[in-house]
Amino acid sequence: MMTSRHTNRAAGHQWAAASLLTIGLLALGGAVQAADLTVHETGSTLLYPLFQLWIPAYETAHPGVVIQAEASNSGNGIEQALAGHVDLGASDAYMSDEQAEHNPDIVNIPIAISAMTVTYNLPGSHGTDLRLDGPTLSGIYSGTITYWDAPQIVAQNPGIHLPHQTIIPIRRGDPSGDTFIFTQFLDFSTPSWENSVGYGSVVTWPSVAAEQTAEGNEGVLHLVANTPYAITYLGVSLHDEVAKAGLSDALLKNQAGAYVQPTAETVNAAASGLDERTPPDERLSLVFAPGEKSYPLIAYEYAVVSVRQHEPQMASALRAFLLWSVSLDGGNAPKYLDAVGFIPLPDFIRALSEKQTDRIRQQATN
Amino acid sequence: MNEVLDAPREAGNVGKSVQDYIDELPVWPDGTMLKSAPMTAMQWRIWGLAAAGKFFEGFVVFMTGVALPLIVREFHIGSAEKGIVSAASLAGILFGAVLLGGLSDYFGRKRMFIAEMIIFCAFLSLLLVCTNFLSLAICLFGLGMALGCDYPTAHMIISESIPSSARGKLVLGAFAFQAVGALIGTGVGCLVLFLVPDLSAWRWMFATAIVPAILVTIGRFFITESPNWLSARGHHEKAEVAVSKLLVRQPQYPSKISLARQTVDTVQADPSFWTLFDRRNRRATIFASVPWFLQDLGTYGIGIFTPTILAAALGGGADHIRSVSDLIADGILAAKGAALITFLLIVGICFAVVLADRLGRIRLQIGGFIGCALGLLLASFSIDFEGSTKIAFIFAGFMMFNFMTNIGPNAQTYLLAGEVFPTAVRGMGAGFAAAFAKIGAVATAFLFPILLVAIGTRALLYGLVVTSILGAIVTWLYRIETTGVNLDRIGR
Repeated sequence: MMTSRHTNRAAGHQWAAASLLTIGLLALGGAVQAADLTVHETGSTLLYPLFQLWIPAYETAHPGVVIQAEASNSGNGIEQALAGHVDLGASDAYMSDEQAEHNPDIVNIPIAISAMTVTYNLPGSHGTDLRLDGPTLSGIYSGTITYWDAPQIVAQNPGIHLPHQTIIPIRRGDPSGDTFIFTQFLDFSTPSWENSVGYGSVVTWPSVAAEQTAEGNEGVLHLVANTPYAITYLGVSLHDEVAKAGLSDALLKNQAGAYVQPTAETVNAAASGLDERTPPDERLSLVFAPGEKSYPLIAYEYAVVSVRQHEPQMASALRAFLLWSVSLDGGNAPKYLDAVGFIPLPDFIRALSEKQTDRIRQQATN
Repeated sequence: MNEVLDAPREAGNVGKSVQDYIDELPVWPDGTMLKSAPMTAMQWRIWGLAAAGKFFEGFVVFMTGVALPLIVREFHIGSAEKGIVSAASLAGILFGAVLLGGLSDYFGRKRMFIAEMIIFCAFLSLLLVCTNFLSLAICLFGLGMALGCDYPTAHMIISESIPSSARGKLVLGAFAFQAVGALIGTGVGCLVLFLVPDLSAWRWMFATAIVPAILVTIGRFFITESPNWLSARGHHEKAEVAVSKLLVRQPQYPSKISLARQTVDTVQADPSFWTLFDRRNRRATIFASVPWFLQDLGTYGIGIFTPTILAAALGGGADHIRSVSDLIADGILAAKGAALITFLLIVGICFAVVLADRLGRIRLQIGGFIGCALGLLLASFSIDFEGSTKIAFIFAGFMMFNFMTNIGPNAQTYLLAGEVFPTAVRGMGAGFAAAFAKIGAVATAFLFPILLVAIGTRALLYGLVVTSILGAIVTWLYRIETTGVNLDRIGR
């Protein structure tokens, strides 16, 4: 089996020989290429359920290509892609400015749009969706709002009985795109958070007495489900598991002042308002988007990939897979995205993603 | 050998002061006197190099405004650090004006004129290779020091070398180059953002100024020391040589320089900072410092409306910085805003250049302060209205304030601060006045947001109307009219 690990640094004549051999083999018939190429992916635990749906369908339709997906975290997905240890990094966050500047061959290609939820375990409140805004969540994660019946929460939820119990904020302990999106929401909506903590895949969280940490979306889900009076942020792809665990999702206050939940309509509203502001490198935040119906916690899900591949087969396989993943009759089809609560890319963004994908070529390294 | 125009007047040249020679109208051999003293090549060189310095100050300061959002993103600068970055420049100006500006009374105008530009070039070069917040703050402080030093130094190097009758327009003409530099700086900043639309753009912006600034620095080695200062320090022979180099004409006039040997007392020879507050200089110190301080208060006050004006004129920016493209777009918008404000500055100063020597400094400063008060009052009316009426009041008040401050106190406080002190303490006096104004600027920058919350916009604006009128009253009570006055006679 031929793998794509970037350790094969053959000389020019070896490349030429390999190319000739490949052409010869291809000329002999399709059966030879079966299971010849493995694409290694790692990263976002939010994207992982989608990859689990995509892989069998893609491998069936494209024999000869094996995709090995692994759930780690977005930070790891980017790092592994930058180091050349995987062919695809999956991330909920785009690369930082420094990473982009120092790695001009690595691109961030949106492949879908996802949302996150603020999920809580409030015994006796199942079926009642609390309303929360950014400043309140900032207060909870800063330790200035410590009880469920704090005035800031009560004021947003008139008529709902809230217990006098300590809030247990749960956050990710690993470098996470979910943390990036959630802290960016706090940053954009709350000046005091912007001026103190800021946002990122890893941030210096304020110390809160009751706080707990977990790794990966699954780890966080497990912890919040087993911790009464806890609150956390989770990828929407775990929506079914959240419901099964008897947890609730909050309605979040958007930039226009409306409280909204993540639905296809509210996620679409947020994304469509920012279409035209997406730059060619597609590193753009969709968080806390303007608009009356916009859901504030959404993001592009990125494939982080090098446009300079060592092997023509790998370049071709990556192009084919990424083009399939963003197409409406491929990976962006409702049968895949609906199952994980994602929405397809708008046409404008799809065109940008296709353009970036088309840059993936076999090129000699310097 | 040059033809001697003034042979019959040789005897009359004995015992004149430096300024007498500079102000003297050349006489033809047939006795015809020129209507004005034409500027010599050296005088233009001094003026040009001072104006060029002002140009680069405006260029870099306004460019910093365009570049700062990019720097903030690259260095991950938080709000507390942002405050330090802003304060670093102001603190540099404050220290530079008092410490370095004052040093020109000891070491000479020319030395500090060169030194400030070397400091400017050095910190500008270091700025290009800054890698973190601390080095950035140090570089901005260093640049501020150079700017602060230039407040008194550039003024004195010009005013002590040119005819008294043209001093107002030439000093303010050079001052106006700061605004020209600001306008071109924002233009270049915009251009660089278009050409290099990424985070490194700010380094390219500053890089554009390095080579021309070095050329200006080199040029400053080839000017004469201020003969006025040399004479005040008792270096009469050197002063005579300096006057002869300054007044090279074809044919030569005057052919022979013989300065009056004035007695130099210990205060003149070794002036201390406290000399500014003795009986002889106290009036000048109050007159130069207090109105400048009050003018800065009003400028910060009207600044409350700057975002509204810019949003109305240029449209709003991004709701949040969501990408590097947003950052670049915001930078370009900020540059356009800065260009709009600078344009108003240039218009006002052009009027000041034309009128300073005709109407006199005092009249313009008092009229300007009253105009500022009216502008602030108009802007305060906007609070009671909404929509287009509100915007109309803000626009009217904003435009009136900017025009009147630039024709009046903004230009005249700078001009007067370099004129009202005797030569021996002129550097310290002008430097102190600039620093005193900047203390006000720093204090108000921190105090105004608190006051806005505590007493509200209306009360704050009314307070500033009062301080502007106070500026006019202080100007009148402590007035020292310097229009056309020989600088040698100031303080005698």
